[in-house]
Amino acid sequence: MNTISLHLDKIEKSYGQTRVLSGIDLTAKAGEFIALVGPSGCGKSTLLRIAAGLDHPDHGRVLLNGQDVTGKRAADRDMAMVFQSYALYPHLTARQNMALPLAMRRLSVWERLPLIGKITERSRLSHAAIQSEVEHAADILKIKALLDRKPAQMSGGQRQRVALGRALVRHPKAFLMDEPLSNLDAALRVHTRAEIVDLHKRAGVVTLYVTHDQEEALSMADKVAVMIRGQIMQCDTPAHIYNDPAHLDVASFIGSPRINLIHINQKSNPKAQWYDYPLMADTAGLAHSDITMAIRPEHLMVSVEKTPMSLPVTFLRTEFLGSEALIHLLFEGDNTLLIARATPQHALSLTERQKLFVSVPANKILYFDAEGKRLRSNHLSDVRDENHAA
Amino acid sequence: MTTASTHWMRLLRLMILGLGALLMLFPFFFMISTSFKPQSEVFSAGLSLIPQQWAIIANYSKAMTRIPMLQILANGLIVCASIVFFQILFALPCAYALAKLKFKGREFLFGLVLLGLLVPIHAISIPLYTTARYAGLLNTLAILVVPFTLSVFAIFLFRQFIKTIPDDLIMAARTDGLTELAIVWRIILPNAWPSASAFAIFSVVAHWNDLYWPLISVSKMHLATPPLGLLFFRAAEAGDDYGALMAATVLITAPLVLFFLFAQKLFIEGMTMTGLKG
Repeated sequence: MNTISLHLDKIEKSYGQTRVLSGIDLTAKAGEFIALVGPSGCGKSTLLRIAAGLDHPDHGRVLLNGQDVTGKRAADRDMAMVFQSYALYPHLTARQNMALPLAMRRLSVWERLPLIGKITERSRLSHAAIQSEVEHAADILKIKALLDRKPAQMSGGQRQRVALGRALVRHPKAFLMDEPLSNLDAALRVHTRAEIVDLHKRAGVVTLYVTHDQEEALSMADKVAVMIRGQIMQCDTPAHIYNDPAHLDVASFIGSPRINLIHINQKSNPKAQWYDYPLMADTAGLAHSDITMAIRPEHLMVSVEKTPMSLPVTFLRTEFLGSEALIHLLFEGDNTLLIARATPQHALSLTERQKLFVSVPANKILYFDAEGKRLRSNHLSDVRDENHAA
Repeated sequence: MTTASTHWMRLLRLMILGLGALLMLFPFFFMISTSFKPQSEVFSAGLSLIPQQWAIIANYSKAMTRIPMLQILANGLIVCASIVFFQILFALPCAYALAKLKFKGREFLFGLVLLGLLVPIHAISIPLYTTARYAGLLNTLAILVVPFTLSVFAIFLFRQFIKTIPDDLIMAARTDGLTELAIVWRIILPNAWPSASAFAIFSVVAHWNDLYWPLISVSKMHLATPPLGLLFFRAAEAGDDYGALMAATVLITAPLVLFFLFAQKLFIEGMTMTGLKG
């Protein structure tokens, strides 16, 4: 474990009139794995490039280990980056690809020349050291057999490993990864996820990992930063991001299938009810007229019998996923589509257009105001406690 | 019916192409044939490609000895190699900057490059000549090279190619610790090899055959490039000895043809080897 931290301080960036990043603050403690997740175009790749020194912020600073590196070139920051396209040098073999960053850092201009470079004893030793480090890294990634191939002779997964090797071999101060798994097929992606987490544990280096895939972010990272419209909406542990989102955008971006949203106008429904139905929870304590309730699919309980505080819905169809199933339901009050998670047995026992009822434990409902900010009232505090326990 | 007609079409196509090729190649056949003939036969009436009397040794030894043929070929080699070397040396970093670096005035500079493409050497030969005179460069090998070291065509060609190299590759190189110049020579050049060799073919053919500028700037036999040497040879020795003149022409053309065939092979290999597309 090294002790190098990475801190982004009030980063702002515009391209012409378009504001891409507005005041980003992000702290990655030593050895921490932070996933930057957000829809495409939210500025996460730009932020990563700014951290790498490949792009310059209009305002703000990048601090590496407490030192301001904002003005430093990418070459002088000693961070390693892994790209979605792998960006391997097509004219070099895997071995040469991995050796190049070491050679650029350790050898002088003369020592890098072919033939002449190996004249002195000292340079011969450094060349040999580089080769053995490359072999070692290749060993870890199990790509020794590929070392003498060129990128064109490798599959996508193999190129990905070489790209990881090229980042790993030089023991950088930070790893920056820009959607490194997006070009892999699904099975390989899940497999490589675990390997990247392992590599991170082994190297113990602070890592920023950009992805649009929330599942990847939640499963791999120590902390997840959700970026939307050039801002970090929330940066927290995966469990908190999922169970305790700070903003409606976070709640609806994270989670698959999407969180169920129910809009309520308390003015038109002063009796705290939704159409003709009493609300499943008491919103009287929330002094806002427009409220959005958000409920995770696994918290919607579907039953055939009516219970107090339950909503009548119509069963539409089942999405069978193997270990579980998703039930699509229609609440006819305002044609809201609801999705509930259920066991396959339960789901398959339902028939089309069947009338059903759904209910939700009161402490599982998340409330947001019209701007999307999370509303917390005292009687909801048990949600938070439960999440802390998790 | 259809197969027969396509067969005839194919035959017709081949005949037209063959006729065109024959027409193109005939002057070369005639050149080689003439270089084998004694003087008496060159001026005889009637056209025959195969000489009745062979004068190969006489003609070629005249071509080799009356002018310093080896020196002239060496001059051509030195001049062409230096021109290509410096053209790539200067054009590649320029093209890289124009294609991949962001700076103010980039589009304007690229506009100047395009403008430069429109200016022929003849338009600037007088200022070039006077400059060379004041610099004391007339009648040196250097003056045959210097005006051509900066090729806007090369800049344009390389820029178009470098534009197709993914930005990720260059960003990866930067994070790997490469300076901008190191990126040019270690990453761009090896990948630009096909377009560099294509350009080298253009450049060598143009400058090996160039008579205009050497004629203006050089008047000494020992500095002559191949076409200029040929001119000297005709003026001084072989006013009407066409057999020897054609022998000299063959000697001067042959290296270029050989180079072209060799470079073409390299060029095609380069295209298939790099596999730039992932």
